[in-house]
Amino acid sequence: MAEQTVDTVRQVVADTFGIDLDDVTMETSPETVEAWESMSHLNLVMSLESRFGVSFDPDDIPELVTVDAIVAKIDSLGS
Amino acid sequence: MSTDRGVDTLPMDVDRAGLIRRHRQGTYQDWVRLTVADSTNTRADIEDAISSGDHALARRLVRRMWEQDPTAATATTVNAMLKKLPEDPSASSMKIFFLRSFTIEPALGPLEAAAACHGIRVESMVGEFNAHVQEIIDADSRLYSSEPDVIVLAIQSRDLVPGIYLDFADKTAEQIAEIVRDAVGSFRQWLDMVRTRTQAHVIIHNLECPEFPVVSPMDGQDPHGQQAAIRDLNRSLVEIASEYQGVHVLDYDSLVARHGRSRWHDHRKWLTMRMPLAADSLVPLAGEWLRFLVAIAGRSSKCLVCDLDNTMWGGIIGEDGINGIDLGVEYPGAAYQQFQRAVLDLYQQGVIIAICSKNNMDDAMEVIRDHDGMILKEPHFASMRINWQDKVQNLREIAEELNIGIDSLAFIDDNPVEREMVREMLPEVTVIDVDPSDPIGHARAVRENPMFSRVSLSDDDRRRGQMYAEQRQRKDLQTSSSSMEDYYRSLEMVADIGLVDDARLARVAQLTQKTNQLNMTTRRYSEQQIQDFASADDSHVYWINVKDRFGDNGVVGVMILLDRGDTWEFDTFLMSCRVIGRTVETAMLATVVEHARAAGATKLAGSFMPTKKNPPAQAIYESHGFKKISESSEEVRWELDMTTTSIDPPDWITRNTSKGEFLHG
Repeated sequence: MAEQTVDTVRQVVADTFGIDLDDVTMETSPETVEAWESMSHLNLVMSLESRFGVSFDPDDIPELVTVDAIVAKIDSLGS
Repeated sequence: MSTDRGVDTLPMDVDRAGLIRRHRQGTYQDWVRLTVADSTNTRADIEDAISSGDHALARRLVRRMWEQDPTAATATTVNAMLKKLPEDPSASSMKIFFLRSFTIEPALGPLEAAAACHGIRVESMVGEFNAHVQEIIDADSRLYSSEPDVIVLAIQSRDLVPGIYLDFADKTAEQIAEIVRDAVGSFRQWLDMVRTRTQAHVIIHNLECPEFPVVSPMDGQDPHGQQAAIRDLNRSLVEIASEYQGVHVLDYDSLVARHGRSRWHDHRKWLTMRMPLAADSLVPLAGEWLRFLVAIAGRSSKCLVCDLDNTMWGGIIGEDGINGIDLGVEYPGAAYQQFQRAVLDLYQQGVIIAICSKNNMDDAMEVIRDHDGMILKEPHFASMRINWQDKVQNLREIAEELNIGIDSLAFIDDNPVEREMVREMLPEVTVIDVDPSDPIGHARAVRENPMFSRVSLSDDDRRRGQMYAEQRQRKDLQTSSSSMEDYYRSLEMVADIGLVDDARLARVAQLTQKTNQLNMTTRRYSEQQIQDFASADDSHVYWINVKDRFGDNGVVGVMILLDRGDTWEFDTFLMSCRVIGRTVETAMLATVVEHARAAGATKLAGSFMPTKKNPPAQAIYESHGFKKISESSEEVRWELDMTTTSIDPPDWITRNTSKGEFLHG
C-alpha cells in the first residue's frame, strides 16, 4: 500500500467532508463522518477520480466507504 | 509552470537589487518560492497564511493553487481552504438556482472554486430532478422564494426531446418537426412565466447532439437528420432568448464538442447514478458558467496590459535587436503572431489594449512601428508604458491615464517575478500567466480567460478599444499644441446634435445609467422611460455625437429638456468623460438656447444635484452665465435669462443640427 496514496486519499476525504486531516484514519467511514451521505459520496468519488486519473466501476462505488477500501481500490487500478 | 526555475535562472531583466531594496526583507524570496511551489507546498503555505492571519496572502495562494491545477479534486481543496477564511470583502455575491434534469451537484464545487478565484462568491441552489416545469409554474416554489440572481436551465437532450435523441429512427420528418415545435413552445412558455415572476438572469443550456447519430455517416448531410433537428431547435432557442432581457444561451453542444464528445460523458455513472458527466468535464462546465457570471456581475476586465519581450514577441529586443527577435509566419515567431491575433480579437470587442514593458522606448517603438511581423499596430494601443520603472507603478498610472479602476485591468507577462509582484501589490488586477518556454500557450491563455467574457456586444463596445487609442493621440496633440484654442482647432471637431430616435435609444439610456462625473442630476432611465420623454409633447431628448480628426467618439452627451412654455428646464444634462475639456458642453448649451428661443421661451433652468462623483460638472452652469436661484445640500438651482444673455457656440466645433427636425420633434 503506497503511503503517498494513503496521504492523498485522506486529504481528499478531509477536504470533501470539511474535517481535519488528523481526524481521518484508515477506518474513517460514513459511520464516523456525518457529512458523508449519498451526494457527497458522489463528490468524493469524482474528486478521487480527478486526483488519481482513474474511473471506478459503478459496482465498486457503493463499496468505497472507508479510507482503507478506497486506497485498496486505487492501488488495484495501478495508479 | 516549470518547477525547477530557481533564483539563478530568473529572467535577466529583473532588477533584483531594486526589488529587494523596495520591499520588505524576504518578500523577494517569497515570490520566488511562490512561483516555483508545487501544490503540496502551496497547501502548507495557505495553512500557514491562514493561521498567521494574512488573509490576502492566503487568498492569493488559493488562487494560485486553482490556476496551477484546475481539477475537481483541487476544487474540493480550494473550497475547504476558503471555508477557513473570512468572506472576501471585494467579491461580488451571486445566488444561482439550477433547474436540471440530471445530477449536477459534482460540478458545483468546481464552480464555487473557480468563481471565488475570479472575485465572485457563488451560492448555489439546486432544484429537484426533472422538476423544472413544476418549479417554473409554481409561484411559491423555491425557485422564486430563494430570489436567485441567476437561473440556470440545464436540461439534457435526452430528457427534453427523447423522441429525437433516443428514439429518432422510427419517426417521420413531420413527427420530428412537431417535436421541435413543441420543445420551442415549451421554452417560450417557461421564459414567459419566469419573466412574470423574476428579473433574474437566465442561462439556458442549448441541446447537445448525440455522440453517435442514428444513421451514420449520412446524418451529417440529411436536412431531416437527427443533428439537423437538434440544430433547428438550437437556432430557435437563440431567437426566443433574444426576445427577452437578460436571457442567455449557453452553447452546451459546442462546449461538449470543444472538450471532446467521446470524453465528456461517463456512461457508467449515467446509467447508475444519473450523473452523465465524466470527472474531467466538471471544470470545463463550471468554466463555461463562470464566463456568463463574470459578465453578468460586471467584473469583466476592461483593459489588457501586455508585456513585450517574450510575451508579444520572442526574445529581448534590447539584446537581440529588431532582426533577432522571433515574430513572423515561421515558428516560433508564428506563436507570437497567434498571441497578437488573440489580443486583436479582444480589441475588436472593446477591450482596451495597453503596453507595460521594461525596455528602452526607442528599441520597442522600432519594432511596434516597423517590424513586418507585428499584427498589432501602434494605433491599437491606448497607453504605452515602456520604461524602467516598476510595473506596479506603471499599472497604477495606466489605470489613471485611462480613467478606469485598477480592478478593470488584466496583466499578461512571461516573467513570474513581475506577475507575483503585481499579485501581491495590486491584488485586484487579473494576472495571466504565460510560460516563455512554450509560446504556443500564449494565445490560449488569453482566449480561455473568463475575465474577457461578454454576454452582449454593442456597436460602442466594438469601438471602445479604438476610441481609447484615439484618445492617446489626442493627448499627444494637446501636448504639442501652443494653446488650448490651437488644440481645439487642430482637433477639427464635428458635432451632430439631434432628437432621440430608435437607433440611439439604447445608447442614450445607457449614458443616463453609466455617466457619473459630468452629470448634473444623475437620474437613471430605462429605454422605455427615454421613449416616454421623447414621445411626450412637452419634453425633448437631445443627443450629441462628436467626431474629430482622430475618429468618431460616438454619442457622448444627453440633454432632456422639459418645455414649460416660457421656461425650458433641464431634467438631465450629461456628457461622457470621453470628451471632457473640449468645450462640447458649450456647443450643447448653445444649441438648446437657440431651440428654446425659437420655441418662444425666455428662460433656461437647470439643477445641479451633488454626488460623490459629479464635482467635475459643478461649475458648468455658472461658467456659461447662469445665475444661482437657490441652494440646498441636495440641489443648486440655476437659471439663464435668454433675453439678456447668450451662449456663443465655439467656432472650432462644426455643428450639424436640423431646425425642421426639431420644430416638429
